[in-house]
Amino acid sequence: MNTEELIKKLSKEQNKNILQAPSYYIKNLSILMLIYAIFMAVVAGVHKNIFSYLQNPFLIAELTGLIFITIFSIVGGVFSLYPDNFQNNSKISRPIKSFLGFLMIIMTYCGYEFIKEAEILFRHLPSHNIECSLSIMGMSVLPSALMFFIINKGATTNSLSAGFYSVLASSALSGFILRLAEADASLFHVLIWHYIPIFLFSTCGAFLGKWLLKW
Amino acid sequence: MSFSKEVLHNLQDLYKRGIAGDETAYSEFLQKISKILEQNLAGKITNPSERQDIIQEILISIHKARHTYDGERPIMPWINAIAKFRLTDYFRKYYAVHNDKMTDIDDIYNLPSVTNDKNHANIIEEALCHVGDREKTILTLIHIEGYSCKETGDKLNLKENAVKVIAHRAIKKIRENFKL
Repeated sequence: MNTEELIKKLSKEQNKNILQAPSYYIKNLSILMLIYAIFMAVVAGVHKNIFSYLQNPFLIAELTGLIFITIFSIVGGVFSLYPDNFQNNSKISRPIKSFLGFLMIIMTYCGYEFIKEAEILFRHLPSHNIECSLSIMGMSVLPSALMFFIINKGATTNSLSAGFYSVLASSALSGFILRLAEADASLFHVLIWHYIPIFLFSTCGAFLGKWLLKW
Repeated sequence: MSFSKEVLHNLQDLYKRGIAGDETAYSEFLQKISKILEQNLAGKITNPSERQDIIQEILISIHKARHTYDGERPIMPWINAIAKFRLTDYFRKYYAVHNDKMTDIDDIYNLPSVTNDKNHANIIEEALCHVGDREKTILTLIHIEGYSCKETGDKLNLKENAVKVIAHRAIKKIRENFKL
């Protein structure tokens, strides 16, 4: 078929509905994620002394960091819907930068505590380890699937990062929920069994995105 | 490639009308895009049929992704993003195929000798008739018998640079005679 014939054929095809602006999808996804988070927090439960632990500014900073990562990842994923990222490339790089920054801060703090007094790091080590990672993975399946579904409606030219952000958003949210339940767990435990697995799951999400988000 | 505001505005207008249901406007939009792509890709893909293939792929992708552009933001970044996406795919496949092709070492030695074929020998003989004896000797020694310029110079009692100049002028004369 030559180009002229192709153009004639394409011109005859029906038009699709234009996608909404990114704010529509960001708003709706955020609401759905919030509802899901509340539901999972009720199911998983929160720590019985959560309010006393919330007096710790480091825990507040950690939880706030996780919320920001979730929000940035939702935004990054939604902007990936459009081939030109809705001409807002900075929003695409923000989630990965914020997550790497978050990891570095946690690791630096762990390193600092280790030098100061290693015992603090290993205090309150829960008896479970891999169960935390599996819980995060299990809790993030549904929100990840939802984000993949939304992004598949578009035409992403960054399928790797779109897949990465879909899983990062849901894993960070699951990490947040689990942290409420394990507010007393040591930073060393959460770094090794929560946050590094979150990064690994997100990396798997990137490869899943490359496969599932083709068009 | 930069475009004037009128051209961009015209493209956007054609696109909006096309999305609203105007087949003629949409067809004109795709035709203008294909011309822009032809100009952009002429330097990157020299094979015309491969170029047409990639242009068609980009047009199909633009058509598939038409629902992702509302006609309000600038149109060229949207088109360029899709074109770049498909071009990257194309080059990835192209180099995957071409880099994987290995030549068997036996094939190098089994190449037919161009000088053993009578037809080739006649063509070469005819070419050498257009040059003088000294040039003919130098070209024969360098290009047929495989001597280096220095070795040829030693044989004919000439400096290496002189051999190079004579060979260069002789080839130029042959090219003019064959209109190459």
